Amino acid sequence: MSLVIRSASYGHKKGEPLFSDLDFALSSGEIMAVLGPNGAGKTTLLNTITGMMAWQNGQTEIHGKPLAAYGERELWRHIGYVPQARANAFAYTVLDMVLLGRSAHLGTFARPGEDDVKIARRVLDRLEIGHLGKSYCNAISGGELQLVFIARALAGEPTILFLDEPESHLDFKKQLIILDIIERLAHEDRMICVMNTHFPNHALRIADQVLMLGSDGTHRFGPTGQVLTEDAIRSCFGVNARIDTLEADGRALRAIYPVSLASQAFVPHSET
Amino acid sequence: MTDAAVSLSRAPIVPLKMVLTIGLIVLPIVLAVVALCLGRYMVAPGNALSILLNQVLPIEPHWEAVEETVVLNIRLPRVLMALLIGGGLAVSGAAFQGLFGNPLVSPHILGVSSGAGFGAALTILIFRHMTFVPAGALVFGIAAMMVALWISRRGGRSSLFMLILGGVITAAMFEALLSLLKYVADPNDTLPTIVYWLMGSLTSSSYDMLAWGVPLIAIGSSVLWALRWRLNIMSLSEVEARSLGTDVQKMRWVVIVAATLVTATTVSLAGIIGWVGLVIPHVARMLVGSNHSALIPASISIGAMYLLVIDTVARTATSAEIPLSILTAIIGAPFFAYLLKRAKGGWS
Repeated sequence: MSLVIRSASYGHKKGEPLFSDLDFALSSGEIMAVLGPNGAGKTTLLNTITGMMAWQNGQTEIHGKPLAAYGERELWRHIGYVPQARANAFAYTVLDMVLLGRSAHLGTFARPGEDDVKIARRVLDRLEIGHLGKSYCNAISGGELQLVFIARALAGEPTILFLDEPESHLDFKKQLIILDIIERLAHEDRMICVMNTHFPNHALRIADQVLMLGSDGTHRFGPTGQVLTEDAIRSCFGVNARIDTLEADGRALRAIYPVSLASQAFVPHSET
Repeated sequence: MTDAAVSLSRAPIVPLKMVLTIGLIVLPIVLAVVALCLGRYMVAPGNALSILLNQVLPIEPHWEAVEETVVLNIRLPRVLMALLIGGGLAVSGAAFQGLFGNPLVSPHILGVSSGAGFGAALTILIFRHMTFVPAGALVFGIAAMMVALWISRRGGRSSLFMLILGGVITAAMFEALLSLLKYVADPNDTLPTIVYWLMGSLTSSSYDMLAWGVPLIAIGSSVLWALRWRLNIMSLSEVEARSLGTDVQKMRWVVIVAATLVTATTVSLAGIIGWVGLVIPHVARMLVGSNHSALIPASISIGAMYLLVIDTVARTATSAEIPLSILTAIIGAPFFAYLLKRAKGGWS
């Protein structure tokens, strides 16, 4: 079980690559966080890795086979994709929405059957939203909707899960719930999880590997502890930050504290 | 989406669901028998049923010959045609709305009907004959859809607003071309044919028309029926649909061609009948919810009933026939306004 990106690059315009010479490999049970400022191409990266947009150079290999060797439906049996939570024009029930996640396993004209419903219910129970099955997706909270989208991806029984800013727009507790779920999926189910996030602290908390995208087309990849440094935060986000460790509950929690904008660092203090 | 839908699925529902399913199957048949009886020459329901049954079982005739003529030769083809076209318009409307994830889309809004109307008028003008009208309507209906899609596409995507604008532009263009055809048409011969035909009417319904209308609408509707669960996926954003392993481009074309086939066929059979494809799916959603697995069958049934009732009113309310498009709009527009008010501007 592996996800490998080989010397891949992509840019919306020629000569202005969003990212170039991307090379990394993830294996079962690993979580990779993708960090970067707005516009660095985090969502585009997910789309190119999963083949929804074509790399200009290089390729994605899943479980040792290049993407091109997979059929569309076959590929999406291995991959789960959790989009940013977004309301839909039609009010589907939660169970109906999660059942849509079975579609890569069903023929074009097939509809989900008893077994698919069982799988969907199991996933809902696992995410502790089993009670929402009959609720309408537009009548539940943003956090619950995000869990529904995760459930929909999991209903496809993927081995690699991509999550596009899964914890954005959620309250403090829901963020933690989502992060815990991602950790469990990686450690208990041995899934490869790739998540875009705006929160370096979330990467510190759960990610094994970090890919930092700069807005100038550069990137850094490596183990979280080595890549996510105060220097990297400054050059990537333009923020002066301190990383510190807090002992709590027998767990060493590392956290990043933003101190000031890098551009202000050299502004001399004016006496008042 | 609605209070009705919520209360339906929250109640202890198995019997209610069954009642609904049976109702949606049986009611159109009951209404069809009633419609067979109504008209200037009233027929007793028992007689109408016996006349129908006599076609498959030998029954001692206890009705008058004129009743048999009225029921079998005049009313039955028209009633069947109303069911066919009402169901067809509603199913293509529901499919279009699902495909574009937008409950305000109808086949009419996307320019298919205008294109089909132009195509029909063009064939009437060229061949002076009704034989090629369905072919003309179909070809130009699909052409109009393709133009609207082409206009709406920017960087490989069709946004909601661009799509509706594309449809508006296409419809305007084909309506202008249609006016041009009317302008050059022979006012004693082809012009009345075109005008009368465009106003929408089931007056000329016949078994001959059913013979080619039924297969075309059945083919298109069957495809939409078979893909009805996939329509749920198509209503999501394109990235989501692809991430669920759906070939969005291919599926989109299949649904568009099937729904356009149905719409264009209804236009070629009975002219342009608005509002059915837009409003009926909303009524169906209130009853059975948004899941297209249930929505597609419900839309067919309700659409069939709706147009049957409208057409029966059209031919019985006054001594002269009221064109269908007038009635569907007079009833459909206020109803749609009511739905909009009820939803308080939010559709989801």
